[in-house]
Amino acid sequence: MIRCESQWMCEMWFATIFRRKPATTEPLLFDETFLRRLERLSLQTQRALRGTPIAGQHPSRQQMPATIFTDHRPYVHGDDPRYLDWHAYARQEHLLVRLGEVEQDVAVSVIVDTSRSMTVGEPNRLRLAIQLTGAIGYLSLSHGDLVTVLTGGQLAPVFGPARGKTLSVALLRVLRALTPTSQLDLAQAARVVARQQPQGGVVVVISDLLTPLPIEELAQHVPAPRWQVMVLHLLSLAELAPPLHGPLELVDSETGERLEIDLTEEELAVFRTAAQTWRASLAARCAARGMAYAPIMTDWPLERQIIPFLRARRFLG
Amino acid sequence: MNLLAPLGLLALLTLPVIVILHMMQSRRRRTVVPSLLLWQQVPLRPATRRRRLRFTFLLLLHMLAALLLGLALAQPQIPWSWPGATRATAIIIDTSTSMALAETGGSRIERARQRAATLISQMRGADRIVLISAGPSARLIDQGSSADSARLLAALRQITIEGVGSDLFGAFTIAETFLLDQPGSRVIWLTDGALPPPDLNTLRLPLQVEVIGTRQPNRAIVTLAAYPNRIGATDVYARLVNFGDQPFRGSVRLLIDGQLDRTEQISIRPDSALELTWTLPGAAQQVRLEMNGNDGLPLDDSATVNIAGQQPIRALLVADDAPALARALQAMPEVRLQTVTPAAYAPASDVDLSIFVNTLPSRWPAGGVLVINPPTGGLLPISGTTRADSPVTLTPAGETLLRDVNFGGITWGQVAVIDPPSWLTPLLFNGDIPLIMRGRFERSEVAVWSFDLTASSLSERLAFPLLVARTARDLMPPQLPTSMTLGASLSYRADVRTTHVELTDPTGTTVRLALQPAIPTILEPTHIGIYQIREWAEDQLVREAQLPVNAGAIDESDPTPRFASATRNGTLAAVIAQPTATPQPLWSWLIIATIALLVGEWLYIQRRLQPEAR
Repeated sequence: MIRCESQWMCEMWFATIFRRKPATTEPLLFDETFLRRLERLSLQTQRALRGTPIAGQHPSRQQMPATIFTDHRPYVHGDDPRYLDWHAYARQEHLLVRLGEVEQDVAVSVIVDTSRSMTVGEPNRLRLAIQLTGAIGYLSLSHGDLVTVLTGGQLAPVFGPARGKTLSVALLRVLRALTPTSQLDLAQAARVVARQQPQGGVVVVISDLLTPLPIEELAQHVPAPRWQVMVLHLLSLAELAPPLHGPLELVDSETGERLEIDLTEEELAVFRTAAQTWRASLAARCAARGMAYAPIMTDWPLERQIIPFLRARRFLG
Repeated sequence: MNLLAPLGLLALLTLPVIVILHMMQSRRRRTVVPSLLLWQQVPLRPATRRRRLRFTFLLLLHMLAALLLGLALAQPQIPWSWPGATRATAIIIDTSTSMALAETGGSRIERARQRAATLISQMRGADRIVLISAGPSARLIDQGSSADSARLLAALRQITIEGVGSDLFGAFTIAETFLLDQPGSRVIWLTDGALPPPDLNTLRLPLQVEVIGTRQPNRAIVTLAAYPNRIGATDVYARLVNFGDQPFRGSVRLLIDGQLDRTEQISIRPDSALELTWTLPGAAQQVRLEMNGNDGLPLDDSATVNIAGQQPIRALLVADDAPALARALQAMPEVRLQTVTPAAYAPASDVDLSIFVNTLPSRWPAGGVLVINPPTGGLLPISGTTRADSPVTLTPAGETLLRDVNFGGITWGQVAVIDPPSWLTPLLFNGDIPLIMRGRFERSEVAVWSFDLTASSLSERLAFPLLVARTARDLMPPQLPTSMTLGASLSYRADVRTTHVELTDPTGTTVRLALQPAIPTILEPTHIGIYQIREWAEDQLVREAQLPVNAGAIDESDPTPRFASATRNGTLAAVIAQPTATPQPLWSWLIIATIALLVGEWLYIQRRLQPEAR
């Protein structure tokens, strides 16, 4: 939306003649080769998570009869005789069943911030959030996980819960249709996730976190270790070190609230310090409640910088 | 740079207004941020409320646009031409008598025509030419574009000498009428400079003065007058001038009624005048003086003048007995009196003035009519008689005719009480009784005296012959001047009986002019010589006269240029002739620049809005 510097300027006849119209076609979120490379990655989930055994590819702490075993337990009626440890029986004359670790799937819930603050600035933060959501959702579907996508503005999930790689097209289509909404209600989204997945799972929060984030309330709804919460904080360089100076009237993109300031270098330095403090505070609060926190700059290329960064932070494996 | 409308600079007062508006409008730059969450954590100083002007690019564009518009309203002109610009040129050709002076390369008027023809042939595209002659009265000759060159050249060839004087301001007015709104307009004045330098401050167009001619000697007869004296002879006076730096020795020939009377040798010192007088025995009608001037301007080397005198008045007195009146009429030298009794009166066409005493005709005869003591009934509404002894009162209308006539102490006796009809104007009242009236009825000039000459003491007073003479001459048409100067105009009032006038110029061309009774017509002689004037009442000749037209005049006979070629901004006497460029109007370019600025402003605004839109 074009904003005029003054009312009379908006009313100038020529100011509206050649107004730029929004592009009708947006570029694709990913290309096919990227998706193929993405399939080789996976979410690094904790073993403490509870999922459906055998169905997924994530390690779990559950033990079941297996050929490669790490433990024994006494045989009970109904156990598969193939997993009996006959060597142990020869030594101890007790029927023991070999127990080994099994892989499981997890419920992956992505809460994506679609508030208007995500659309301010360049490059577009909302597009990056959608790309990240698409990447996480795609690789989760590829690994047989149960995927749910929620936005801040709606109570019901915009996608899922769904499982299966074939649904990735529907996921991407849903993501491309996302539009800016009102403010993000993170606690409400967490409540929805907790109600739909009572056994727990992975919760990925993708947001600029420019709302007073109830980290504590979030941890209350999706507590560790049943839940593994990953916070991807999208940061803009213009947000940390804004290129502003002089008398300004700052307008909040979400609330419309205004603030008149005379910005000098001194105040800008204070602002930069406050921004760093704010970010550090978020990281500390997340760490204190067992949540993983990863700041992501919006000008980072997705495949060449963000994905390696997430792998380094053990979000992806 | 000239400003044609300096008041347009008042528009520059918008500059401080723009500054004030920018100060009022100088708001903080509005910037949309994702959230005020972090900004609210910064301990900010309170924002200053004082408005301060910020020198922005937008302010600069606004000021420039207002400046250009203000300058455009002032209609500036630059003293050089745009390449290929359209020109509108008014060519003013001096057609005064001095332009007839022959020099090397032809007469001055001929050289002016050649120069004008060159200018016409140089027209290109949409160029326009307005041809104006500046003679005694300015005239628009023709106008047209380059496509009308042939017509303009033909009109140019018709321009001739028009007479004494140059109505330069009239010519400038015509030029401004046609050129004031034309881009690249200019005025070229082709003159010999033989007139005082005019004041050109009121001219709003650029002027280029091109003086044609150089200092040349000229001898002229500037004054010629002839009057009959008391002894029946004729006094002739002539004034001859020699405008030159060499003495003149030559001869003059005096012709009386077309016959050579005498030839005299004369000598005139340089730049001085010679006055000659002659007393000719006997009466004469016309005197002509010719001088062997041996100069380039022969037009003013001769002059003709009629002998000053009164036109004969053929008067018919219709009365039984009016000796005092008859004596008064006979005392007028121009009156040819004939007397008849009322019973023997019959209207006659060869009578100029009919005088009825104690009687009235059945209808007003054509020509002048004087009625004295009219009887009751008939043509005038008379309600009776009364005695008039009180002092008389002169009306404003009577001031002209009866001024200085002493009516004091006159006893009027019994007077006819006349209720004047609408066409009769009282000139003299006794109480509320009109005594003398004057008016015009159809083709009759009528004067009415309501008193009886025998009962009044007027006929015994000195005022009587004076009143008779003035009344008789007032009833007749005015006398023609003894001569005219070429270029002057004459308000000619013919006899009231005249229905049309035949005017024959010296070349023999006759023009017939239809006349309304007592309404003068304007005669403007265009040739030097004797004009024949014949007044006709239908098919009867009423009057015939001659009107000499001379070229000599003190203002025109000195052909020396008194200023040089110049542009309008220079002093005419000081600037030497040089090619001058036509000032070009700048307002259209300033408007275009303003539009370009506004477009630039729009682009600037768009460029600023795009980041905000993102």
